[in-house]
Amino acid sequence: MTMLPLRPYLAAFRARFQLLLEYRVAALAGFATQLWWGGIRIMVFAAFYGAHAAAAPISLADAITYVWLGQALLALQPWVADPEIGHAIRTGGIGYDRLRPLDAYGFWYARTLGWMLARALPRALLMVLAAGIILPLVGLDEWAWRPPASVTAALLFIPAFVLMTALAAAVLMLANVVVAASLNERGVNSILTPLVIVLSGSLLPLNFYPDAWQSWLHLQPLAGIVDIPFRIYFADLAGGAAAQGLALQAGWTAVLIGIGRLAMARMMRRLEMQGG
Amino acid sequence: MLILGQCAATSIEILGVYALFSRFGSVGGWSFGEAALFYALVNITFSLADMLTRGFEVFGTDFVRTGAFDRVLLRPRAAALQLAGHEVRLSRLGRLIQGVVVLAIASRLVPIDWDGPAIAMAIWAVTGGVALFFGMLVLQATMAFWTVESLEIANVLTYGGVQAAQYPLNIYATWFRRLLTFGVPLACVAYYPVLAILKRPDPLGAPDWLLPFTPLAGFAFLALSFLAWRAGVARYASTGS
Repeated sequence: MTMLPLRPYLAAFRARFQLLLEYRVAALAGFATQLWWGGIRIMVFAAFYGAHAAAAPISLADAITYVWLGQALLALQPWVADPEIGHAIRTGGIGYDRLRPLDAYGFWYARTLGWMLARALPRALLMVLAAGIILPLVGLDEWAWRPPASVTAALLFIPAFVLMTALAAAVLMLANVVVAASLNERGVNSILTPLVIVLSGSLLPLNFYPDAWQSWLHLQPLAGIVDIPFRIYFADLAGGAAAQGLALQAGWTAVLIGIGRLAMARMMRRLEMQGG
Repeated sequence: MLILGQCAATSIEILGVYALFSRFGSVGGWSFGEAALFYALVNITFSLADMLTRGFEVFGTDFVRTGAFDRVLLRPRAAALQLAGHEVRLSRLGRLIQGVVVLAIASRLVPIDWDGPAIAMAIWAVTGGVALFFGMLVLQATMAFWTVESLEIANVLTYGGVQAAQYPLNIYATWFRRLLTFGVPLACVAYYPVLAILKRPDPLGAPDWLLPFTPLAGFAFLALSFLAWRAGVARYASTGS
């Protein structure tokens, strides 16, 4: 049989292929979950708007767009520390990072960015397709994800999106440093997740919370991850307010990167290697 | 620490519910206190079910993929029983604690007459609900016989179900209400029992005498899930180790 020598290669190929397929199914399953979740949140919004729409700070159409944007970019939100960092710390692989002739913060920051974007972008594209294109096509126009409010809003959303990603990565870097120092990511994640969900505005747009909290809710750093960019998208923040929002995002990004660099330099000096 | 974290992570949802009610006043004839009762009941139920069924949740990843299920099958006890006792996670106490706290708050906000029938109804609803969530996790595990992995899609049923059942049923669209009553009978272990506890007639028109029987649907769902499970075990072929 001439086929025989090829068999192990074919088997290896098949195993690898099926593994990839398995991941694709998992990604699709995750996407379905996000779609369903968004649907429930929209139904709840619709019910509340049905009774007293006038009490709402933004229109129902904008609230729906806010939900879909949030579901699409869910993986960009910094609610769990990068699992690879925890792994590198426990196995001692972190030692290689210290040996590299690179800026350690910059290196990790880039890796964290890559990890976030690789998870977020495919799902965001699927969500545009499902909530932005298919929903209107099947006649559920009022439930659809709408395009940016205007050309200006679309153009302003580009820097807002870049800054939101940069800010989210800066928050994650702080979490990563704490993970590295405490050797454990579960504690960090259990505090990070609820903070990010509430303060970023992904649970509810920030101006739905009681009026007395508004001023500090809008000034704190996590508002730049969801609330500011999304309100720029549907022009709830326009003109001077949009510029202010972008400035807040940029300012907090710079501050958090600064703190992260200092903390990381300290941590790296004190780092004790785990055997490997 | 983890319990506290869990408590915080799940408490924020009630913060969202509170903010919506304080902004809009009421929804579908329900006040925040009444909605909090749904929230408390569903979360208490889910935390109990979640604590007891970890073996089924990780079944695909930890048992089928690794071949560890072979060992389970060799032991002279029912496989389902062994899986249910696989691991009891105390960190899930967080959700339970905050459910109980919200229940206390709800009882202060609305006049709930916690007489004998109401207490019995609450316990009965929780029992039915635990059976229902257990059934969902058994179904999720059963899928692993075909997919070899635990799939995130089942979260649509479990966590998504918790999310949906936290609000009174009559705020949803008709097709969704039907799904939650006849498909995945979450309404039968949350919405109808709460009506019975509050001694309110159903705004959707279900007769009063029916309400106390609705948690039975949870047990029916569990029974059907175990039928599917048995079909899965029958076709199980080990992946080896």
